[in-house]
Amino acid sequence: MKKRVLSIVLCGIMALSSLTGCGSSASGDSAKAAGTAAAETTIEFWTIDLKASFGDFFNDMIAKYEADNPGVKINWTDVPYDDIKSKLVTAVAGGTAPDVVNLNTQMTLTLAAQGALVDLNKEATEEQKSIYTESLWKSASIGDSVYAFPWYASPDIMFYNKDLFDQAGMKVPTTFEEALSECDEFHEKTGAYLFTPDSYFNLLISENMDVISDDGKSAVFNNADSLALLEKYKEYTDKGSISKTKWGDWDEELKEFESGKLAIVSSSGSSLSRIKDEAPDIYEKVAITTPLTGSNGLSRNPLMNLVIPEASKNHEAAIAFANYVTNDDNQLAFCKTVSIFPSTKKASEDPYFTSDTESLEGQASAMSAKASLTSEDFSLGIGNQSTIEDAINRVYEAVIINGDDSKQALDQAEADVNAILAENAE
Amino acid sequence: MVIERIRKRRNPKKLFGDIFAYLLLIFIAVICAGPFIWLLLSSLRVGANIYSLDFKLSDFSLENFTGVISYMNLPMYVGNTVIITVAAIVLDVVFSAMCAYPLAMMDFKGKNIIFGTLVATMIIPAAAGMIVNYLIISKLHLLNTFLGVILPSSVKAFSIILMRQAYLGVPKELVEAARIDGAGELRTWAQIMVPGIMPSISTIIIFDFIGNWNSFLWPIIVLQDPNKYPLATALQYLNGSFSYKFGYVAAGTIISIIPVLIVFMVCQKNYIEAVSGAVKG
Amino acid sequence: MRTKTATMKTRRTINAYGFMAPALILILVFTIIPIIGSLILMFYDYSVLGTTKFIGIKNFVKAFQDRVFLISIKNSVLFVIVVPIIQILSILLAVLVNRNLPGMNVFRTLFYIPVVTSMVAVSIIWGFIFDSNGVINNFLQNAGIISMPLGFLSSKFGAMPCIMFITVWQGLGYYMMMYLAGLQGIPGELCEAARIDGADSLKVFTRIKLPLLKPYIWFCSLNSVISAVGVFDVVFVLTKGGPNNATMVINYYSYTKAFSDFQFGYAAAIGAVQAIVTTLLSITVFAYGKKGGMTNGD
Repeated sequence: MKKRVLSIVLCGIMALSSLTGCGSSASGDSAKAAGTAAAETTIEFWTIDLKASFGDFFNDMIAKYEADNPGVKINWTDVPYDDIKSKLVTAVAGGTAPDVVNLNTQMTLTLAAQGALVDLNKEATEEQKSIYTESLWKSASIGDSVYAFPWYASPDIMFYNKDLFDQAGMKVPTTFEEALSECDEFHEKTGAYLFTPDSYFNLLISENMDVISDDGKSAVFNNADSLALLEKYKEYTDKGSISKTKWGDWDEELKEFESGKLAIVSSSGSSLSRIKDEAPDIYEKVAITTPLTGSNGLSRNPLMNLVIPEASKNHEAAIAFANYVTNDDNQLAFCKTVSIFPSTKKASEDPYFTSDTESLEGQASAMSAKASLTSEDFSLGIGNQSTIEDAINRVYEAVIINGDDSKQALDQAEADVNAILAENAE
Repeated sequence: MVIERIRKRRNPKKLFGDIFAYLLLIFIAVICAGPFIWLLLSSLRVGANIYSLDFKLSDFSLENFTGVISYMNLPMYVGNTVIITVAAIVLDVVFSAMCAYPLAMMDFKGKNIIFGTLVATMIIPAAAGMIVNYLIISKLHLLNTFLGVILPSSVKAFSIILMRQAYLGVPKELVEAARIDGAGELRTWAQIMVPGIMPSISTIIIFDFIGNWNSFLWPIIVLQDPNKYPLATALQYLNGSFSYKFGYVAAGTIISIIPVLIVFMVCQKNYIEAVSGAVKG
Repeated sequence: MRTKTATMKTRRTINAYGFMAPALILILVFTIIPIIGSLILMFYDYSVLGTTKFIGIKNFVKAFQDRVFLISIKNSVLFVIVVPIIQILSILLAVLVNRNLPGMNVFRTLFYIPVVTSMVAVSIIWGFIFDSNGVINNFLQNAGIISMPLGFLSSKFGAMPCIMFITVWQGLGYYMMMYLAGLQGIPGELCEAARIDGADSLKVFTRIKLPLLKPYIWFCSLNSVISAVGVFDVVFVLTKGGPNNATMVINYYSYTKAFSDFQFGYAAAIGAVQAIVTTLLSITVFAYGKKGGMTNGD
C-alpha cells in the first residue's frame, strides 16, 4: 500500500533496467563492493555541516564507539544544511534511509508529523532518556511523543558595538521595550540602528502571546494585542529609526553589524569568529551580554537534535549510538571545541563554561551558559511549524515592508494558518 | 594605397564611432563583469572589512586561495568534477549526435512522434523527477557511483534538437556521394556527417560544461562518500555556519569559474560558427 | 520491385532506431519516466514519508483555491516580460560586438562571465550589491540622492524588477552569442550593396540584418520563454519568493510544496499547470513566428 504509485513507475524501470544494464554497468565502479560485509550492523549517521571543522573530533568519537561495540560499524556522512531535507526525503523514498540523522527542531517536527520518525519516548530506555535537560528534551515533542535526542544548542547571546554606545552616550538596553524607546535617540546621535527586531512570530512568542489554541486546531494570534504590537513597531520603522528589513535574519543582521551600521546583534557564540574574520575593525569594538528579551523573559536557543527515521532497519542500535553521541562526555568534549552549549544536565553544569572570563571567546562561552538558563527553542509542538511561522512572518512583510493594512494582513495570516492546521487534521 | 589607408584611418566620423563603441563596450563590461571583479578582488584580500570598498594594495594576498585549496583538498574535488563533466559531455555528444542523425537524414516510421516527444520533454517539468531518478539509480545499483551522478543528466533533448538542425545544414551531395561509394550508414555518419557538425558539437560542449561543472544538488543526493563529490558540491560546505569564511567562499567561487571561462574562450570561435549552422536549418 | 523498396524501408527504419537507441533509452529512463511518474502523482496524495492515497483531481481543485498558487501564476506570467527585453538587448549587443575592432574577443568573454557564474556566486554578488548596506545604497546615500536606504530585494515593488534584472544580466551573454552567430552568417556583400545604394547604418540594420535574424529570434524567444516560466535559481538563492510572495513563481512554489511541505502530489499538479502555461506561451511564439515569416529567413 505504502508506495503503490511508485511501484507502477518501478515496474517500468525494472523492465528497462535489463536494457540499460548492458550500456551502463560496463564500467562498474569499484566502490560498489563496500558495505557487503556479513554479520555487521551498519549505522548510517548523517550530520549537518560538521565535517569541515570537526572531522577529527567525530572520527575519534566514532572509532571509540566501534571499538567498544564490536559488530557495529558507523558510516558517517556530513551534508550541507541546505540539502539535508532533499537528501533525506529521497533516501527514504528510495528505501536507503539513514539510521541516525542530525536535524534542527523545526525539521524534526515536520518529519515527525508525517510519521517518519521513531517515538523515542516509547522506544528509548529510561536510562537513555534521563540524561537530558528537561526543557530541551521536550522541545521536539508532539503530544506525549518525543522524536529527538536533543544535541547541541547555540543559545543567542548579544554582541554590541561599544564605540557606537559611547558615541551615543547611552546604555545597552536589556528588553525589546527599552530598545524600542531608545532607538529614536540612538539613531539620531549615531546614524546607526540600535537594534533590529526579531521575526514577528518570535516577537509574538517573546511577548507571551498565544499563537495557536491549546488543542492545536485554530489560530488565536489575530487580536488587539498582536495588532498593537505590530503598529508600535511600524511607528518606528516609518520614522526610520529601526530597519524595515531583515527582521529575525541573523545572517543579514550580522552583515549590517559588521559594517558598523547596527549596534546590536543577537546570534550564537560561534558568530564571534566570523566577525573577527570578516570585520577585524569591528571585532575590536565588540562586547558581549545577554540578548534582548520580551515580557516572557526568554531568549532563543536553537537546538540541534539527533533523530531516528522510522525506516531505519536497526532502531535499537541506532538509538544506542544517538544516545552515545549526545551523552555527557561527548557533548562536553564537543562544546570545548566551539562556542555551543550541551543539552544534558551534567554537562551543562560543568565549570568549563564559566572558567575563562578574560578573552572575548571565553566571555561568549560564559554568556552562552548564562543565556541558556533563560532560553528555549521556540516550538509550537506541532508539525509544519515552519509553514505556520512563514505565514505569520508574512504579516511583517506585508505591513512593515510593503505598507499594507495591518488588520487585513493579520486576517489573511489567520486564514492561512487555519487552513494549514485544517490540513494537518485531515 | 598607403595614402588611402592613412586617409581611412583618419576618417573622423569612423574614429568617433569607434570611440563611442568602446565607451559603450566598457560601460556594459562594467555591468556584466564588474560584480565578478569585485568578487575576485575580495578573494584576494585578507584582514580587511569585507564590506569596505576601499581596496588597499597592502591587504592583498593569495592566502584565501592557498587556504581554501589545502582546507578542502581542492585537487581531489577538481579531479572528480573533471571525470563527471568529461564523461557527461562524451555521452551527450556521442549519443545525441547518433540520435539526431536519422531524425535529420532518414525517413522512418515514428519520426514525428519521437521528435514531438523530445520537444515535449523540454517543456514539461517533472516535479517528482529527483525522487523517481533516485529510485531508478538505486534499482540499477548505481548509488554512490560517478555513473549514478552522470547518467540522469547526460543526454539532453536540447542537444539532439540542436544537432538535428546542424545536420540539415550539411550539403546533401556529400551524403549522396558517400552512399554511391558504398559506405554503410555508420561510416557515412562517422566520416561525413560528424565532421560536418563539429561547430555544433563545440556549442554543446560549452553548454554541457557549464551545466555539469556547476551542478551540486544531484551529486549530494546520489553520493554518500564525500570523497567523490564534485567541486560545486564541496563548495556548499563553505557556507556552513561553523566553517563560514567569506574569503574562502570567494576564492572557491573564483576557482570554480575560471575553468569554464577557459573552455569558453577556446571554443568561442567554433561556437559562433556552430550556432550559425544550427539555427538556420 | 515493390517488395524490395518495402524491405529497404524496413531496413532503414531498423537502422534509424539503431542509431537512436542509446540516447532514447537514456532519455526514456531519466527524463520521460520521471515525467510520467509526476503525471501519475498529481492524482495522488503522496508525501514519500507517509501513506499514499488516490484523490482524483482534488489537487487541482485545491490549487485553484490556493491564493499563493494563483499569485505565483500571475508572477510567472508577468516574469515573461524579460523575454522581449533580453532578446532586444542581446540583439543590440550582438550588433555592437560584431564590429571589427581590436580587443573584441576580450569584451565578448567579459559579457559571457554572467552566463558561466554559478548560482552561489550570483547570490553572494547580487546580495551584496542590492543590500541596504550594499554598493548601490552606499553610493546613492553618499551622493546625497537618498537619505534612507532603498530595499531592493526586500521591497514589494523592488524585488521582482531586481530578479528580472539579474535574469537579464545572466541571459544577455548567452543570447548575444546566438545572435552574433546569426550576424556573422549574413553575407557582407548584402550590406555593402545596400550601403552603395545609399542606405545608412540604421536602414541596413532594420531592412537587411533584422529580417535575416528572424529564425534566430524565433529560436531564442522560444528557449527564453521556456526558461522564464521555469525560473527558479535566482528566486531560490535571493528572495525565496518574498517579500510577502512578491516574487513567488510557479516553479519555486512547486519546489517548496514538494521539499518543504512534502506534498509531492500537489507539487506535481502545480508542475502540470506550469507545463500548460509554458505550452500556451510557446504556441504564441510559434504563431507569431509563422505570421512574421520567421522560419524562412535563410
